[in-house]
Formats: sequence, structure tokens, C-alpha cells
Amino acid sequence: MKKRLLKTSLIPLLLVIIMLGLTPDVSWASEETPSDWQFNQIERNESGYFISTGTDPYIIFPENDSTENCTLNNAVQFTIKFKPMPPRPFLMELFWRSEHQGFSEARKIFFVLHPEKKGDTINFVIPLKHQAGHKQIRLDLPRNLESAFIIENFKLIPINDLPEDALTIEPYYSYTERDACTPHIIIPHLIHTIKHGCSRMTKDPIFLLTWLLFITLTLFAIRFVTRDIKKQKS
Amino acid sequence: MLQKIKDRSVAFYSNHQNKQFIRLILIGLLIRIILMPFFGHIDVLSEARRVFYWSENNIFFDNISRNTTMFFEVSFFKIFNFLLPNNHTMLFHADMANTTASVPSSFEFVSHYDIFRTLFVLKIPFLFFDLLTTVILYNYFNDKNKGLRSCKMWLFNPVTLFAFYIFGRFEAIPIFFITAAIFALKKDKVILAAILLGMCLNGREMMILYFPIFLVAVLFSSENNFDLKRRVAAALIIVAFTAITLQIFSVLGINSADAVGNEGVVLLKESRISHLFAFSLHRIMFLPLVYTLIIIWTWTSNVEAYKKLLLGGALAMMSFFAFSSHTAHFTSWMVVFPVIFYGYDRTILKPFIAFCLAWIGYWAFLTDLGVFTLWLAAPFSLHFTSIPNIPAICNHISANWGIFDLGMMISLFKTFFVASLIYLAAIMIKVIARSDEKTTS
Repeated sequence: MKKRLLKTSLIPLLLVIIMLGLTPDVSWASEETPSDWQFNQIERNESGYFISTGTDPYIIFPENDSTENCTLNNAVQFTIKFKPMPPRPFLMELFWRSEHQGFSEARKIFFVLHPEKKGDTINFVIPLKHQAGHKQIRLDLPRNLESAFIIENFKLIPINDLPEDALTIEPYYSYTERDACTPHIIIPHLIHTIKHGCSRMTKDPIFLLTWLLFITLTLFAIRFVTRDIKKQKS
Repeated sequence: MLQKIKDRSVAFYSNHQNKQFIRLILIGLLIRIILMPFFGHIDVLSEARRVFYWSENNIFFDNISRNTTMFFEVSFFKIFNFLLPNNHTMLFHADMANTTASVPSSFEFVSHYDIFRTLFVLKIPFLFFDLLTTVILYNYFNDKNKGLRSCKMWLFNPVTLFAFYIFGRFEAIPIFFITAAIFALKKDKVILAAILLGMCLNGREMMILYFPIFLVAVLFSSENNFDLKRRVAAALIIVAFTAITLQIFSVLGINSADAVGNEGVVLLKESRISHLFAFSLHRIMFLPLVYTLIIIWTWTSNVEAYKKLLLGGALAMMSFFAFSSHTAHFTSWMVVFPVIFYGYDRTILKPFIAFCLAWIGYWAFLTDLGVFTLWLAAPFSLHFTSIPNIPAICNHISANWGIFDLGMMISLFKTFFVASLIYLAAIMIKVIARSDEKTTS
């Protein structure tokens, strides 16, 4: 009985693995930028790097023809080379459109990239949560980006097979009023938010320890004075 | 010297009420330390850019109407700057003529891993002046139990906690100076009071409301302990400080550009001021009406000068909030008055709680981007910014509420807010009238 159960559960799993293997990646990994990328307020400089030339620089990547990819390949990988590496974290936005809906604020995430201390390239992957799929993707660059850049690689990849060598970047979604009133959406989001904040605190361990030390010392001082007050009363 | 300090500390600590005061301060400090690293409005970045620029260029005074706050913010930044190794990356801004931060740049700012320590360091001056105000409040009353009562209200009220540590603005500095000025006047130190109030006027634009009250209270004081020489000196001091904050000198053709080359903002041309004078009905302007009443009372009353400044200042500031609303953290300016009056009369506690609830409700429904929303917790996690604010949610769910839509909720809570202000004002007037009766009899 147990063996049969195992077999029946293994078959769909194998099927999924085969399907994933057969699904072609939508990717570009070359020195040359594909000619079907659309650029807005972005130009090449003399060294062949891109620079933003306006207040709304963005790149629209080609349409994704495979319908299967829309739901399966729900993570996006980028490898961006900067010259020079930006000195501070910077914000980028990722829009997507489906078969029948265009790019809009409702179909958007933003994320923040932190500069790499070593090297000039950031290889990162953004796991997307939404299930609606994406026919086409648009990447909005920060308007104040002073560095030149080259996108060396853009890939739609399966969310359950994220590459180990790429940084996983936290995507920030916008919730609708309806989502905010739906407990099974908003409660997990709040729990995730608190976990995210706590993990961010550990990135500055010296401050975290000092801050905790302050709190502990103040608690001890309160306890000490309270004990004295009680003693004096009695 | 050290022995003297030690003896005095031991003597201070041996007193039962002093011990209670220390415990209160410690609990207040604990709450503040917990809040300090996690919250901040977009304005925190705008102000931090300016403070960093002033500090780097050793500018302590400028052609702006709030030199006191600037001086202390820059001084504290210079002291604690060493704790921020990445201050240049985080706070340097190339275009100093436009320092107001945008939403994306604020999100980038809070994404730095050093954001927690940066917010903590930027708020140290607010913590310092907040706790110093507590010390003044404790010493304000001869009866230490009254002082303890006031301290409790000051340390644990939501309005100042929000303004100083969640919104993250410098309001603690001018508030300390008005409290200190009232205390100095109570101790008959009229010259010191004039200097402290002058610093308060130069700490925040709207503090200018205290100027005529102080001037009239000092010049027409019925007390014998203020001789004419001191009255005139105090009046001249406060007039000089007022001239600086109003930038009267710019009228004389003196260059009023600030350190970055911007034309100095002349307070009298600010929209907040014109808004106050625009609030009228059948040609009667409400703020000048209330203000005239306050000035006439200050002029004719026989109560001590410090009580005139206390009640006059309270009523002037409260009428400002009754007739105007700009942003949630401004309300902190008036909190010190009910706090002091709570020492005189404990019946003020319940109306004060009503006032706090009305303030929370009003701003929760009125809020705009980031003013009173989870956006303020963006330094902890940017995921907070993805949750819609209360007005948006209210608009979404109020379809079946009939007349109780968002507009109605804002009007209702503003009405509750004004009602609580009027009630607080009535108690304050009663307290001063009672003390006046005692003095006369």
C-alpha cells in the first residue's frame, strides 16, 4: 500500500521535472544587446555602456511567446555590469503585462539593489509571487542613476530552481484595499514583514548588540530602582 | 568637586519621590530607545541632508527662521558623527538647493543596512531635549507629587512619542525652550526667560505666537519683583530674537540668502500664516479674535507673569490647532500645556485622553502619503509601504456606510478634536482663575 502511494506521488513529480527540463528558458546572455529590446531615455556611451538620459529610463524586453513560461517561469534573473558600481543602494521597478492587460501600477514590484563591494557586476534573481503570469517585462531604472551599465543577462527562470550563484532580491508588492481587508492575505504579509525587518537588523550586528545592551541595562536599572522604592515603602 | 557631586547624587537618590522620578525617566527612556531605530518620515532624510551639509561646512547659523534647532542638530551631529561610518554615502546630496527628499530616494535611504544606527543617532538631540523637558516639569512644582504627575503625562503621551520618535522631527527642541522659559519666569528670572523664549521662537516658525503674550505679560506685570530695568531689558531681548526669526533685517535690504544660495523663507509670507488669517466668517477672523482676547486678558489680569505666559501660550497654540491642520506631528507643540496643568489639576487627565484619541482618529482618516501610516515603519521593512492607508481602506469599505464615508469621518474626528481642545481650555482657565482667587484673597 505504501509502495503504491509512493509510486503514485512520484509520477506527477517526475512529470513536472520533465516538463521543467523541456521548457525553454527565455534568455539573453551575450555581449551584444538583442535588437528587439526597446529602450526609453537610455543611450549607449562611447564605451558601449548604457546611460540614462531622462527622468523615466526603462527597457522593455521582448514578448514571451511560450504560454507555459508565463506561469512556470516566475522568477527573473538579471546580470548587470556597472561602470562604476553605484555608491549607494538604488531602487528599480519591474512591470509586467499579461495577454490582455498592459503595463500598469497594479502590475508592478519594486526592489532595491545594494552595491557589490567586490567587482562591478550584480547577478541577481527576483522571485515573483503573483500567479497571473507575464507576457512581457519592463525594467525601470532609477532616474538618478549616475553609473553606466550593461545588462549582460536577462532570463525568465522557474521559481523552484533558483540559481545558487545569484543573489535573491526581495520584491516589494503593492497590496490593494481589498487585499488589505482579506485576513489570509494580509496576516501572512505582516508576518513576513516582521521577519524581513528582523533579518535586516542583523545586517548591522554592532548596532544591534549595542542597542540590545542599552535596553538590558535600562531594564536592570528600572528593576534596581523599583526594588529600592519597595524597600523604602516597607 | 567629585565628592560634592557624589554627595548630592546620594542625597537626591535617598528621597522617595526622586527615586520614583528616576524610575519614570528610565521607563520613558526604555520606550524611546526601543522606538528610535525603526521609524521615520521622508522629511527625516530631507533634514538629515541639510544637517550633514551644515556639519561638513561648519555652518551653525544661517538665514533661516529656526537657527536654534539647526544649531543643536548640527552640534549633536558633530559629536555623534563618528558612529556613522557611511554618513557620506547616506546623507550627501549634490543639489543642496532642493533638499526635499522624494519617495524613491527615501526608500533608497532606508534600505541602507546602517539605517537603524543612523536614525538612532539623528534622534539623539530629540531624546536629550525631551528628557530635559521632563526634568524641568519635575522641578516646576514645589510639591513633587504634582511634578511626578506631569512627568507621567509627558513621558507616556502618544502625541510627542509620535512626533519625536516615529515621525522623527525636531519638535522636542523648541518645546523644551518654551517649558524652560515658563519655569524661569516662575522663578522670577525674567532676563533668562526672555533668552529662553527667544531661542524657542527661533526653533520653530509657529512659536512666534508666544512673542506678543510674553511681551505684554512682562511689560504689564503686576509683580513688584520685576523692576522696570529688567522689564525693559527682557522686552528688548525678545524683540531682538523676534526680529531674527521674522528676518526683519531682509526688509532693510540685507542679503537674506541662506548658505546654499536659496532665498530665505520669510515667515510672514508662509502659507500657514496666510491660512490662519483666511479662516473667517462674516469678516470676523477666528484666530485674531481668540488672540485678541488672550492679549487683553494678559494685559489686564493681575495673575503672575508666568501664569499669563502659561495660559496665554496654551490658548494661543490650542486655537492654532483648532483653526488649522497641517500635519500630525505639529500637535506636539501644545502638549506641554495640558501636561503642566495636569500637575495643578488631575481632572484634566480624561479630557486629555479624549484629545489623544480624537487626534489619532482625525489623522488616521485624514492622512496623506506617509504622514500617519505604516510608511513610517519603512526603515524596519519596506514591505510596510505596500499596505494601503486607512483613508484608502475606508473608501473601499464605506460603500454601505451611508453618510459615514471618509469625508464624514474626517469632519467628525476634527469636531471631536476641537471639542476636546475647548474642554481642555476651559479647565486651564478654571485652574488659573482659582489660583488668582487664592492670591487675591
